Amino acid sequence: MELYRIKHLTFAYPDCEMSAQRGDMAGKGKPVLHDCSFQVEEGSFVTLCGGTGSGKTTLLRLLKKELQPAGTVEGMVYYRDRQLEEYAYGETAAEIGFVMQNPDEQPVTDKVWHELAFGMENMGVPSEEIRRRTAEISAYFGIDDWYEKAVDELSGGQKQLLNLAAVMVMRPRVLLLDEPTAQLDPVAAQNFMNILVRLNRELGMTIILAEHRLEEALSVSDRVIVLENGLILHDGTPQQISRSVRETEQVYEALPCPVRLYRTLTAEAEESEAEAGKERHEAVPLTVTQGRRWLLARYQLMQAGCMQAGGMGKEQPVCESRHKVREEKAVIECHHVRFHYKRSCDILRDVSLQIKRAEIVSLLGSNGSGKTTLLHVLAGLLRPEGGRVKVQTQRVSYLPQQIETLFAADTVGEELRLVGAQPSARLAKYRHVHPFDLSGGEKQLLAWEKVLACSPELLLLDEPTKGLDAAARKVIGERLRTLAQAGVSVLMVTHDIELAAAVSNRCGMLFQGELTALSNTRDFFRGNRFYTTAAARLSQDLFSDILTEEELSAQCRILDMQEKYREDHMELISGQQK
Amino acid sequence: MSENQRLLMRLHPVTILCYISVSMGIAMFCMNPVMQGCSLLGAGIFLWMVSEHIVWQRIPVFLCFCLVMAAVNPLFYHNGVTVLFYLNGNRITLEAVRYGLCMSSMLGSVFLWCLSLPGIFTGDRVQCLLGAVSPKAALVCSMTLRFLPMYVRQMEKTKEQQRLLGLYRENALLDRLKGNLKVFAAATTWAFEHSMHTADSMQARGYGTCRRTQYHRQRFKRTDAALCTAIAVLAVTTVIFIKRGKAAMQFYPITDALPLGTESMTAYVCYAVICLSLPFLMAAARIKNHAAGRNR
Repeated sequence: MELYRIKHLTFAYPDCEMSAQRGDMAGKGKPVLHDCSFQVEEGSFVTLCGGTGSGKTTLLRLLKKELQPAGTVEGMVYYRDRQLEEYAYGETAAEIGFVMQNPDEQPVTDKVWHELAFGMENMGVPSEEIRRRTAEISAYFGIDDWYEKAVDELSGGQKQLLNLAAVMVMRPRVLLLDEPTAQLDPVAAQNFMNILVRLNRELGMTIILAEHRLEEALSVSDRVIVLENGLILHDGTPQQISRSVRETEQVYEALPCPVRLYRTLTAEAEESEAEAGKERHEAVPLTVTQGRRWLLARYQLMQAGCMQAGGMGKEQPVCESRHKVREEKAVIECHHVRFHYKRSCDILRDVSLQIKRAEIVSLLGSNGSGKTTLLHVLAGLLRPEGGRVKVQTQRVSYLPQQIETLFAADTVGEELRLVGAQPSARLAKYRHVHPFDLSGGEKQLLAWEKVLACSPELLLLDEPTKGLDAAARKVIGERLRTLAQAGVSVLMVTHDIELAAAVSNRCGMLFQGELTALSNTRDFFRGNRFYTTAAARLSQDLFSDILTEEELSAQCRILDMQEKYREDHMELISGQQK
Repeated sequence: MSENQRLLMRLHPVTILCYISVSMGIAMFCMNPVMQGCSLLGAGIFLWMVSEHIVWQRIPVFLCFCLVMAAVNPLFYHNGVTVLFYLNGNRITLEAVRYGLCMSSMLGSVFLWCLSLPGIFTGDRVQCLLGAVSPKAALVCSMTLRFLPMYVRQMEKTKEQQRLLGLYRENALLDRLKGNLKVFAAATTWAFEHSMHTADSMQARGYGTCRRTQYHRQRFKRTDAALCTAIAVLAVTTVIFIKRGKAAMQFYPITDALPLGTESMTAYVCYAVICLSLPFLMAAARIKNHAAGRNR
């Protein structure tokens, strides 16, 4: 049965004073959504994929009456055979559940149990029924243990789980989720996705998930809709999407590593086959497991490690784009730093670290391992209790996780003037706009400009790619490389393994307040089996020493070429023999 | 949660409020050493049971407070017929001393009752009480309790960040003030943003679509009903017998003899039952618990 039918939906935000002030083309009534049509079957798992500003949030909000943004709507949204407009306000509040992006913004009340009850209180459900349903839902989601706690005490992952539970307790027919995992660490994100899959498989819950990355979502969804600039570019099963997304499209970067690898390696073959009018029937590998299986079959690597026997794997890393650190002079040193907050155990136990000029050091680690605290100590916000911190430069900049805390002025121009800088060309037109009114990407840009205004020698970054889409992450990677080439040292703490592997000179892991395994990036990831890049996981035991996707595809290309050469050679020999 | 707390947590907040307000109310309006003694004892044990550690720190303050109160009355109030001695030409009378003692123990017991309130009425219970009067007020209270710490944290974060950027670090008062004002403005802007999201979240979950119910986890059980009735009956009896037995004493110009007739005795007993039974029950439970713990 169809749950939603969207017909030629076009939407434009009103041309308000603000957008006129911004001088922004997007504000002048230019549609955010263009003629979108699709249906959603009951019980399906649909992923709406697109980068920042692709219109997916707007589309998602248009599907829920209570959250519909103000603006001009053309086209129809049917929900269960009736137009959404025909429903009375609040009639579908319980039926259509909505989970927001930021786990901090959805909770209304102060206690977990009250948050769970909030929706039902609004619907006028009697107390006894509320008691029954909260008990049921907390057992299902496993939140009994923190049922009594204050919402503030929860971790981000727990908060988002609570938000989901608080919506589920109202017994919705469909769940709309707006990038629910963007602000979570990888473990919590995976956990959240697992629960979504469980809801879909066990309860037949219809799920519409907006996401800017497809690593986890692609393999579990029934259907993927790709949005770009308000247009539906692709709509189909994950397999179809993996084939049809073009390399020039933004969303290509968001595809999981195995898919991209498959696409890179089979691009030529596919082209020639397409010319020959044949169609490929081989399934695109969507997960790492499928990718490994495919690689094994392709190169007939029946036994682990046989590549080394052939002498292939021993070759040095195929492409090493990393810059070299020449100087030995340390910009910042800390020795045996210890720290703990009031009424808590030691956050930092014994951390010693040295960062040289023009070096990028990444620290990985789970939540609560003391990463942010270490940055605060190094930035001079907190005094270490033991050990010492030696900073050799005056110009240290710190980019916080929550970039809004950087902004304290009323306009973008004022913001930059405070730190003695002029807005760059891209921000110049927003000179008179309040920083909070900028879009996500522009905020990010402003934050970077503000932080870089003092031309720092040492840059401390706290999760610089959190919540960013693939394109923005790429930009940050590039920016870090350029900075390092200009002689800036960077220390970043991050959950983004791919970024760390791509740009850093050294990586370390902060665990229980201690710095472990701080070493050369390649050595660091070579020693890791679980906590490593997708490319490395794909090629584990197949090729040695693969870190990034480029390396893996280059390695595979070499194999292909050798194979081709061997075949040609054999043909030649057989021809000669004849 | 301690064992004593658990006993209380089983009761509905209305019952506890009923208990405390009756115990406190009667003590406040009936000047009688026996009643004051009961109230003081009850409040003392109750507080001791509810918040074990804090009590010892506050005892000296409490004693000083009582002594000062007891001393102030005869020093400034010179009514009464029995003169003890003259101080700076002012009479210090026995009646004033008696009244001062009675008054200070009354204030002391009220003070103790009030001290025990925060230990019992945690956020949840206050909301439960408030919700019975006005669900909307309870919701606002809950939202405020969540919002305020977040706001303060945001302000601190912004301040830290601005300091790191090298702004407003100077020690000049004016500059610091300006900086703080900026930070306050920024945090408030953030708060507006945040409240917009909260409003969305509330609407998305059907706020304002129909009459809200108020869910609270405490149930008004049969025990609560029985206790409330008992307290009410005893309270009414006490008040009646206080009136009939003239248990509320007059101190000036001559202090009444302590009323010890049947009627006033009935009032004493009733009041003692009201304000001592719960603390004694809790103390008994605790002693039993200790003994059980030692045997193990």
